[in-house]
Amino acid sequence: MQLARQGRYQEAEHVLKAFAEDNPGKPEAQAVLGKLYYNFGYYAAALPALQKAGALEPSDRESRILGAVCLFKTGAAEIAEAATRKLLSETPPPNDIDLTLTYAQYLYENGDVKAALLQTRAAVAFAPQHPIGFFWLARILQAQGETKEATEAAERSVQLAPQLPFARNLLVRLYRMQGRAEDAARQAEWLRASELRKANP
Amino acid sequence: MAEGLRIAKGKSLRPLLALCFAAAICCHAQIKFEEHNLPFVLKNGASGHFYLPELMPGGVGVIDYDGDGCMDVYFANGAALPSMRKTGPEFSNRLFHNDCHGHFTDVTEKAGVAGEGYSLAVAVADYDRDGKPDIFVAGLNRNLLYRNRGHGTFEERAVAAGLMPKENKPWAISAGFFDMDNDGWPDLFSSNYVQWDPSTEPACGSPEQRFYCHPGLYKGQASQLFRNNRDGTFSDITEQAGIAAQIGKGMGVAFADFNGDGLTDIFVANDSMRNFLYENLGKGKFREMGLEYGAALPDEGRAIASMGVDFRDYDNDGKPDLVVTGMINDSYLLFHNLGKPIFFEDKTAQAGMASATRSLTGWGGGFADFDNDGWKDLFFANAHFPQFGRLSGGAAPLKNCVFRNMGNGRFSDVSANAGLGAAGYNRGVAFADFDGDGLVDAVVSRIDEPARFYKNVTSGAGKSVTYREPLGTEMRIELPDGRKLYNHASTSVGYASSSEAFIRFGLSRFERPRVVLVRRPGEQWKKR
Repeated sequence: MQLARQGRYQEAEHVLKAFAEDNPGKPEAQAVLGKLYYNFGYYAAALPALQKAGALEPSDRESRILGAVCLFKTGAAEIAEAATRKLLSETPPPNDIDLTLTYAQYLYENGDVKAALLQTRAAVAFAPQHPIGFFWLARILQAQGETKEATEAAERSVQLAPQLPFARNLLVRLYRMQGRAEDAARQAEWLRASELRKANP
Repeated sequence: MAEGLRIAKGKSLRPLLALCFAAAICCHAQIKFEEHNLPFVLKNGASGHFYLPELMPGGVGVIDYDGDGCMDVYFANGAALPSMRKTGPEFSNRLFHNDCHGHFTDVTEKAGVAGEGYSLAVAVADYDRDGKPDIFVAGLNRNLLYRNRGHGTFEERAVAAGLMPKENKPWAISAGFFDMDNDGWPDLFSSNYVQWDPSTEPACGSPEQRFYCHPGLYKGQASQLFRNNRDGTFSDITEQAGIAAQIGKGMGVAFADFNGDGLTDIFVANDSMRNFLYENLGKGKFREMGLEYGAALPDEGRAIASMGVDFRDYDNDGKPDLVVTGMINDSYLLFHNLGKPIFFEDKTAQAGMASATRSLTGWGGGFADFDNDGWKDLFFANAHFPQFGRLSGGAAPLKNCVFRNMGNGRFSDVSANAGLGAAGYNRGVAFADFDGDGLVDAVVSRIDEPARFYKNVTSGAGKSVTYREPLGTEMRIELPDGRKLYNHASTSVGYASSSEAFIRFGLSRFERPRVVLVRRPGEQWKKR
């Protein structure tokens, strides 16, 4: 994982893949390979390793949670939902905030906005310092037409992680909806400046 | 008794039969294609060095070059790398004549349109208004303008027309004609990508396994805007128009009047950074407003690897919407236009597109009403980057896909039974009715494989009607049941490609529209 942190992804993959193949019964060997793929967004590649890790060591909740997220991301929605429900029922939800938010995203994308909102509210109540939780809360509230509360949630997200663009993008629209053109323009300018670095690396 | 029974049967069954008939032709027609190979193989010049341009070909253009009323097709093709030269006939751009039945004959040599350099995009319009459509080919440091001389031949005029800069030669991925000032003369927008030089190409991946580098490693470029001087030449007005200030990594480009002010606006899909929405302010000035108007980023706030785009009204509310293809884990974006003052909202999830496209990588794509039910459907040309195939859990070549517009804001993936054939490295797609049966077909370019002609054979589809109008013209038809349908004249569709130059409407179960309204650029709505 140190290699991956240094940006040497390929070498990290090479080493961890060999380690997992040499130790097929070792849950940690599978887990670490799965997490490498997961962290780079290669959900389909991560899934078998994470599932194997979870099966070998059921107490490894992290691998099982990430495995469920991978199922969502790769379109295996029904299996993912079942896995998520099981995970959430094992301990009082929502103590796994990433899982809860992914589940909320799934519910939102499938049109169950009310259930998505419930999950997200529970997640931010459990983790009130989680900027992505507040971003999702804002996003779902905005879709529900709750502009004022959505704005508060998005502003809270920006407060918690001013370096992240997610909630700022949402705030542009929310402010415009309320006629706050200057506030919207400020957020848009921040996003433009942030994007400039991408155009000129 | 028998007579009575027959009458009774007729009376009772007629409404039911009518309902079934209407349902068959307007609501449940399975979109279906027959796949045919075309004798054109897209070559990207790949030779194991992983030069970035290898990923990017190639565009498809629809053109009735000989005025026989049938849509012909032109393909842009790559070149050897790093020389960027067409070192053999395998790299030739190709023009195919259509016999009006969807049978294509290669006429490249006679037409004189084989091209030079590394070609990527095709844009078609009659730029000199002599009644014959011309071809603009954008590419890597080299543009071509083929003026249609008639009699099936073209002359190359890029330098003479002012479309081939002597210095700072850009890398254009897409280009499109539109009428920016409503003067009836097609202007040209070139969507430029990154600064690229084979001698400074970074090495990515490991020595054992090289990969293509992420666009984040390259500096972006400004796109270019060329005003038509109405004398066969163009002026580069990129700077004064306000386009030069925006450095992007432009791929697809599409045009529509999104705010209803009578001026055509521009949307540029940028790779791995925010998209640009250039609001046309008139008098040759544009203002980039993508962030303010909600079309720069998806609701998640993270830029996607935007590639293809279409700018068209999918819900018939009179306001053009956007669809943008992206990479695996991105989901293809659907921006619904709400009108003033908010304009675009990300409807990807609500439309059912988020989970359905998250595992795909899309290049070309666009809205077209394949079953003529009055609702524009979606077609996407797909393929992962080679290195992502393994990581996505499957092979890099992908099948194309088609989503049916359900008429309620949602799209349903109907690809499984649509006859879209085998997977491939699909790229550009252009739409037209190539065989004159009233159904929209598609032509898709494929790297290292024959291009595909998807003949639309949807059974039970309704009829369609087409209108030839100048670029930027908006049209509204009303069906006998009161439904209003909208479309506008724009050929720039998807990725580096150009579709038929008609405004087309599916008529559902009807023979003809009840009312036809038109708004030509700079004019008011009136009956046609």
